[in-house]
Amino acid sequence: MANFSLSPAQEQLIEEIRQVAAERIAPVVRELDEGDDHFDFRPAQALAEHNLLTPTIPRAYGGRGLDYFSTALLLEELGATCAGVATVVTTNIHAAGPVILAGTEHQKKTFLPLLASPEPHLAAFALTEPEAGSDIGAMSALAACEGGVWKINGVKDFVINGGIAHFTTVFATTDPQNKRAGMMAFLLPSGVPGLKVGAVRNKMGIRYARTVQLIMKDTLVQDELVIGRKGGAYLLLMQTFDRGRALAGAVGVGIARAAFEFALRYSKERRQFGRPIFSQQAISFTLAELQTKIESARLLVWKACWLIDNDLDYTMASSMAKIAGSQVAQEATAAAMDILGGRGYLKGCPVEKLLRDARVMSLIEGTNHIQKAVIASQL
Amino acid sequence: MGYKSIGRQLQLAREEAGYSQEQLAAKIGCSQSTLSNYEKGKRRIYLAQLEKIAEILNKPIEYFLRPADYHRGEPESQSGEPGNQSSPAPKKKDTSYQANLLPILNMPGEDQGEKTALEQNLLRLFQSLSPAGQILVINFVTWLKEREVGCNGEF
Repeated sequence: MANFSLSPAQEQLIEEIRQVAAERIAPVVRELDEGDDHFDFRPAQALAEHNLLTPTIPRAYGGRGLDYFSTALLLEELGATCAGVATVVTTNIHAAGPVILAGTEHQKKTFLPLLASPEPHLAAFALTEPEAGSDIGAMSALAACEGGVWKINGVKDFVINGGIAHFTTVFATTDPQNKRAGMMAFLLPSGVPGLKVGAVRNKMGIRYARTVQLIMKDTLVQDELVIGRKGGAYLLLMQTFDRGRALAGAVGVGIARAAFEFALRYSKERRQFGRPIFSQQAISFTLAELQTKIESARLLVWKACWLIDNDLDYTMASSMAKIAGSQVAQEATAAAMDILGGRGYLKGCPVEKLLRDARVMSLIEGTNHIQKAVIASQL
Repeated sequence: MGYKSIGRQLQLAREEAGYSQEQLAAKIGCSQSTLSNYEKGKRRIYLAQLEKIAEILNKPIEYFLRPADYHRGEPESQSGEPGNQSSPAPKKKDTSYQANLLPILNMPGEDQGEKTALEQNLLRLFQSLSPAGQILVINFVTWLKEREVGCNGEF
């Protein structure tokens, strides 16, 4: 039986995050977007104080213990406020995911409480390489075990939270020929010898989410920091992705909602030809269509998260949610800019930032082309 | 996306262990149709489920994840333990595979002339299978041949 009403706890969570976002994040959004390489910890601090910087950490490890459905509600609100901040949170969730799913008790006790602390602790997720993006089987970062200690060599790119994270979840291969079966996941604490930050990536959008290259040169990792059973890292990665995609969809819905709400307000205030432009069907029908698509995408996100929370098959639903969320984000921001006209194109206009943020949504967490391949493989 | 080859390995391992889909599904606590979809690669198998299956079928997780060409000519590990992680098992010739293949290759009465398009396609398909898959095909063809011999008195 489907139930579309939120629980009192979920309603309360939305109120809580709206208050934090309005008081502690929204006032600095422009600074975050225009900021230099220096990471501004204020939004992360605000979220950490509410134990919402990594909301999926189980209560047993000091976390908020939110399920994916509630986490999606949180990320829609953050996406509507600043997609960069939402991306920092999703990256923390991503990095913690393999530990929650397959980590040892020692790993969980060591790393998870960090992300649940009232201090803003970040985690990074290092997977993409210069020559291995969608084709992760082409991974070349090499891990070799010598006397119970792993030595990792390779370069990872587009590492969000890289260089400012307290730990990084890294994927490497023991044998490039062995592709999926050779893949392994490691926990790299910050400051581990041989781990260096390379180029800082200057991005078009989600600029708050600091993104760097990570260079591993003879990086030594103790065997106890290997995540999961040998040979299982590929499935662990896919499962982490399948869960993360639903959340990326939620961020997209948030971006779309913010653009829609801004354009709706503007269309009721802006007068042309002697009346508000909203009274023109060209405008009101566009907004009506957007509202329909936003609601559709939100329902797909909710369904995918419900499947995850109920331990049912969520792969296809998650990819659909990601496609729908990213597409509606791009469509809504483009339409909002058309409604605002030249004012929307100016730096400092929220819609201009939303449009730049929306653009990455079809690329991040696996491109939409990959999502379609995932869906097609199940047809 | 890789799940088709995982599913194929899963099917081979299940058949090798002598389980029907119903039997294995019951052991891991899922429906037969779910297991069937895992084997077809139509449903992503999650790690916890594959770990259960690996344990029941006495295979290491890597067995299911290796690329198809890695299995070709690779000896089957009965211990369930692969080699050292830093140095993968060497790709040796599978003698049992050769032993299964040779009788078919040496079968008398085969036309050794130029192959037709159908024969070439069959050969290509056959070659694209894993060694265990090829053995299944050989066994089936052998059985079929024996049945025809039984019917027609030829061979």
